[in-house]
Amino acid sequence: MKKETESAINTLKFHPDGIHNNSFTKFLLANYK
Amino acid sequence: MDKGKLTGFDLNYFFSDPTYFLSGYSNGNVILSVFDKNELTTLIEEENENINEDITNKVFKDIFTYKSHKSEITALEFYPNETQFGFVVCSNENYATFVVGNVDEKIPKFSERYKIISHMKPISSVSFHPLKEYTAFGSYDNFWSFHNILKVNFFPFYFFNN
Repeated sequence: MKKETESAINTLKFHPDGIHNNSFTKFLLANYK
Repeated sequence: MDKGKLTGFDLNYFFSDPTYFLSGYSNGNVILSVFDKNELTTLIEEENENINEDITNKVFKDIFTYKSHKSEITALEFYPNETQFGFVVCSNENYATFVVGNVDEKIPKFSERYKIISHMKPISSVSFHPLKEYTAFGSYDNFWSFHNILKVNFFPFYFFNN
């Protein structure tokens, strides 16, 4: 699975509570270039 | 041999005794090293002002050099698992590899378990989902991607200790 974002990604991290959420999309795109 | 600049580092919190860490370099090499925490504690508590390379080499031991990537390491992270030893390496060559191995044996062996080749620019970061199976990658190509790095068919490429 691949998804386009608004700009280049510098840092990407899953939210630490992601395990409690059935959705894969619960993560932080923390830092864009 | 010139290692180049240190561009990536990660400490393994999942295999704690001894403790493993990874160092990634600008020439693409990744070195897996190990230290005994008791020896490190002794070294720190001695407060020896004359710590030289010979002393640190006794505490920090390089056990494996992974030489698959040929350009700067951009992200480096241990696989968060207490029973399976592994790590992900990303480089300026726009791909990442998931490497697994056995460090309990006298001669550690490693193999590439999965390769991420879906990005057009270097991968800047990697994050493991808390379920451990799924991994997300962020890239300078304006895309993020999800991968199941365990349940895929990939012919493994083996590396032996060097």
